[in-house]
Amino acid sequence: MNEEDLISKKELLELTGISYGQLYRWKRKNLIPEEWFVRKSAFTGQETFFPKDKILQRIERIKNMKDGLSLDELADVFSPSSNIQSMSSAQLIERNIVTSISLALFEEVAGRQETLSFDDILTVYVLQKLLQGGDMTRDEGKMLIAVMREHYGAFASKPCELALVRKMGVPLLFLAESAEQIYFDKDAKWIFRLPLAASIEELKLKLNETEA
Amino acid sequence: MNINGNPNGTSGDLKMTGNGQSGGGAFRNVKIMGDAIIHADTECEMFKCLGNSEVKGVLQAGSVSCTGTLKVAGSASGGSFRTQGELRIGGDLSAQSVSISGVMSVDGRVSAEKAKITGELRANADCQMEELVVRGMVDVNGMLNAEQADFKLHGHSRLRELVGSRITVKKGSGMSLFGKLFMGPDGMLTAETIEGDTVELENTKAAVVRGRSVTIGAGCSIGLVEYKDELKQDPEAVVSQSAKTEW
Repeated sequence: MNEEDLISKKELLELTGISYGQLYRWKRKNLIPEEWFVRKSAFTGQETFFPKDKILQRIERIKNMKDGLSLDELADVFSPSSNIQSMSSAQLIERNIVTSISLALFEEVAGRQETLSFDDILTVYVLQKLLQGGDMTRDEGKMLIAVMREHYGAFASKPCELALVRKMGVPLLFLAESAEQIYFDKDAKWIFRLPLAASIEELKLKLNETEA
Repeated sequence: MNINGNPNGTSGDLKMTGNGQSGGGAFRNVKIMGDAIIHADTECEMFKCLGNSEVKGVLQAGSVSCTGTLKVAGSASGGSFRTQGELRIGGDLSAQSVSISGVMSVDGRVSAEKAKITGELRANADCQMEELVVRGMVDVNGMLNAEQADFKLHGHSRLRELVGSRITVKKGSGMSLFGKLFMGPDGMLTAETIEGDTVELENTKAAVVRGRSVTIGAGCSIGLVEYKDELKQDPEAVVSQSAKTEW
């Protein structure tokens, strides 16, 4: 996950088969964030480069989804904020967005709630994903709920990631704008690093799908 | 005359004839005939001005029409902007449609679905439009990104990057009123980079042009052309280097 791994615009077009028209249309619709257009000097003058992994993954997803959704709907999927503000817990279960088990665990910590805000839905969704993947114990899940509820709002829709580290069986769960440059002593073990942007995209697709 | 709007809740009309001042606020309709200064942020459904007006704040309006001069110190946003004369915006401009006969200068970014400029467009940052028609000149200190960009050049246009799907740049016909107004022999355009799917150029100077189908017409001087499908070149055009590419 080297941030410096860049791809030139020409290579990008060659690799993905998209045209300049598509690239710039997606930029106008904010499907490709402005920050990803990195200008650097080259022999022909200024050239544009992109963070390679991010842009390739994003273009792949746009190509896969663009037939089903309009560009504006797609823009919403990729934006860290959401149109869907809240949903009732009954609906979330009925529409199969989260399971009753993970919702029950959430309610154990946060108390019983009729409707969940988007951030809370995201919390339950991430919780469920990590529990199902076997990366995390139920007790760590409770820590996750507490961390998300207390601190996720502070990121104000900026991208961030969730990470779990254990040392001698003691878990440390944290949210960070980026966990890229953090180093621990050798007894500490990274259990997972989960960029929330990807989960937000998955969740929005699920919410949109079931709505339609 | 001094009229203030209601900052929240129901709003009335603001009408000024002659010289007037207002403290800004929320209005239904703002109509100005003469000279007006509005001292703060203004929000309204319709903003109409015959004469000169200045908003010393942010302007948010369903529609703006002005014959004369309109200055907005902050950003401006709304449905449609129509100006005959001069429109100056200190911040960003975002609108559904923009139609200018005269001069528009924006200190920040411009974003619009449709824009038609007869005269001059000056922007100090990136511009984006779905449909752009220019009869005159542009000076953009950044990237102009448009699905369709159609230029008829009068005067000297400058851009850093011109990009989009379909880009057409032609020299303006000498018969037009603007041709005579600008006095220059022929309009021309200078850009660092021009990239699109279909690119047709005349009277253009650019370091790099890239596209699927590229036509380099008379009066062009291009450093490097890269094309995927085809390149047509006028015998009077200068292209230092060209290459067919794979993408």
